[in-house]
Amino acid sequence: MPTEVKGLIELKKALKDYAPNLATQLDDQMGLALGGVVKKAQSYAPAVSPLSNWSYRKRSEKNAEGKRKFPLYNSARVIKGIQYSGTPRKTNRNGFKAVYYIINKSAEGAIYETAGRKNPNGQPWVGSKGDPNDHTVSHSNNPNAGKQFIQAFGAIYQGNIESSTKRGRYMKGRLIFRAWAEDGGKANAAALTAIYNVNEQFKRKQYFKKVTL
Amino acid sequence: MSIVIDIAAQFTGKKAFSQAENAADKLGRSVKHALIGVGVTAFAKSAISAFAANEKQLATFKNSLRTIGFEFATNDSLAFLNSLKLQYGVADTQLIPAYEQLLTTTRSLAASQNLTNVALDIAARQGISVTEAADALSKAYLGNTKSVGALGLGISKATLASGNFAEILKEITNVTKGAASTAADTFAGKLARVKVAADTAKESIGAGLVEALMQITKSTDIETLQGKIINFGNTAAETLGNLGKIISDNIVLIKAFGALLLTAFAINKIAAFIIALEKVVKTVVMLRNAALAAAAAEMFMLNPLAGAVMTAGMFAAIGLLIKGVDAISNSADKATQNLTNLFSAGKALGVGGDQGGAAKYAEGAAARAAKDAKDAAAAQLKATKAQTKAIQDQAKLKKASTLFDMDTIQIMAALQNKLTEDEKLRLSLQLALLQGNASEAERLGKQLAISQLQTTNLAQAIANIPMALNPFKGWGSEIDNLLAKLIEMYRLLQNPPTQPTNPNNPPLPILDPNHYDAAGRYIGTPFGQAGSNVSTFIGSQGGYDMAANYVGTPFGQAQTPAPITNIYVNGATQQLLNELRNGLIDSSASGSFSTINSPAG
Repeated sequence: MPTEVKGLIELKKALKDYAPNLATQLDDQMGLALGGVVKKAQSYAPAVSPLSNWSYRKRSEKNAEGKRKFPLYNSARVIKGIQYSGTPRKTNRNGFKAVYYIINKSAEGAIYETAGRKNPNGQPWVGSKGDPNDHTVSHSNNPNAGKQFIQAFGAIYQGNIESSTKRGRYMKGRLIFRAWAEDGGKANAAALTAIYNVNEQFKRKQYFKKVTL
Repeated sequence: MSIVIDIAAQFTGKKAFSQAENAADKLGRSVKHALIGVGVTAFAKSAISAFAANEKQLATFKNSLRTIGFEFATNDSLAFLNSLKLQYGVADTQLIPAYEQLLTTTRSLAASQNLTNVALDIAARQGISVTEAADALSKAYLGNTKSVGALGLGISKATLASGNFAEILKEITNVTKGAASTAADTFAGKLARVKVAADTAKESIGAGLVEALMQITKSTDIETLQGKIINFGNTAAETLGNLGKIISDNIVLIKAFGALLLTAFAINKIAAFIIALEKVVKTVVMLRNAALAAAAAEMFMLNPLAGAVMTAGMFAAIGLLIKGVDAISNSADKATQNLTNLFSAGKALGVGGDQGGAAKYAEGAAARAAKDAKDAAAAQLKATKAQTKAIQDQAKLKKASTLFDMDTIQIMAALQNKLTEDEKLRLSLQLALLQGNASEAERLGKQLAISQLQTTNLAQAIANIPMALNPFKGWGSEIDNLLAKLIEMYRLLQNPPTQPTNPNNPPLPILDPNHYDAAGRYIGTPFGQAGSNVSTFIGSQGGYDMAANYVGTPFGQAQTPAPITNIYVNGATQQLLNELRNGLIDSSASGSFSTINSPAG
């Protein structure tokens, strides 16, 4: 659950324009605060594919229809895709714009992160007779394919921190959510403290100017 | 899809900035609907209409019951009908007439209620109205079974022909029993029941609205209320018309104003507010000038039922801003102080406050002003360039128009030929003169003059011309010589020659040798040599005078005596003298030698 920090975007812009040293300081402190979680999350990415046939190999990335195929597991790509960032994202449907966040970018990383969140035993099986465009069901010949796929990944962890008010499957995961949960909120507190400290330092610099109409 | 854990986020509103325009439009529409009160008014009108129709029907029903002597059963009948209405979903407009007809026919409450139930079953089964079913039953009750037979319930003709209503009713009941209940349990039936309930509620609301209007207007009766409603409608229509026109005229301003309000207040950005404030002030002043605020205030008074919260908030904000505008206009210092306070408030904000955005936005405003000035300068430069280009184009057009001037064409054609420099210059000069190019003509004229002089070497010749000769040069000495001779002659004349006493030494004649005497005869030696003295007589053939000077023709030829005109003048008159002078002059002019008879001749 994100912490709402009013004026954070304006603060970042002001730091960039008027106090670049403080901006650098904030970036450094955020790196210290969130880097540990990122490193830990990266360490949870399996070096080899949990499923032997899911391992990355050279093949076409698109099918005959030109659509993207199901991604194969590539450890390096998963690790590289786990990052923290201070670049504001797009505003979400609730009106919040994430400014500092930890992200798991890669497709296979996201699959490994979230598989089994919604259906712990796999999607309902329909086999090859179902609508091929329906991605909410399993089309595999193996009725237990989904279940076996998820079981191979191991347990999924609840990523909520103690202060969070939202608990549910949307905060579960095996990489960043697991590392986030194990961190116990220390990184979150450190990040917010860093923002607060930089803001205080910036205010002491008296950047306000008198403006008259 | 990326998986993200948000550490710190900021609420920016649901796409607040990108949808500002849409929000303003929605705000405008909401305000319009709220002000005009379309939904509420329509519902109120419908409710009051339903209430009025129900009241009329009930009054008719009560009157009918009173007529047949069942006035006492009015309330019980209405309760019964109400229960049926809600149970089977049949409207009052059908149920009451049917019950009324059956009661009038049977004159029995029990029979009429029973037959009403049967009529409901028949209507549900056959898909006809309850009124039609009740009419058929009423006629059958009175012995007319034709209508019942026409219902198509499968009643035997024998039964119908018997006219026994009990038997007929028994067969009808056997056929239609439970049809109404079954129909009422269907979805359509349930909907009908809900609709009936809603209509009932609407009637109640209508009754409440009328009562409320009576109380609001302090009307004691409906006539008074009617007059007040009419007056209200007229005033409201006029006001709404004015307000609609003002909104229509100022819709752009209102949109801009809404966007400014959103920008200024929705994002908690002090600096943006300061920058936006000036525009807000201007906008509000214009809105105030358009009397929108006054119209809004009037609208509040006239439209209490539709008083939407958003409308109230917006126009309250307008009112506050108008006061703020007055304050700023009247006291710039106070406004500045207010802004300073705003900045102080900004400093007091926590993590969520404005963190230096004010300075940035202030500098941004200055940058924008500089950009505007630069744009203006660029626009002016562009206009100047455009004007210059227009002049150049005009000159080009003029030049192009000369292409059709025959004189010019001929000159241009001539210039294409092989010409000397002088000819080229002449043609060019002529062309310049035709085109009215004074400076070029002057230049070419000078060049042509120089060229001509160079061609004929006159320039060099003129440059080498010596000083002009003085025609009177030397005249001084000649004149001096002449004067000297005249003086000598005068001296000689003053001293006449004397007769020599010695014949061996005769005096020289006064005439110079080689001279002619007055008669034109040569005097002297023939060749200028010294001669003997000759007498003063000189023959006709020549001879020597006393001074031995030869007198005669130079070579001794016979002298041709000059024609002598002897004119004897006796008593000459002035006229004669004039004639004489003229004759001499004519003779001189004709080359003849004329002499006056001298003593010698």
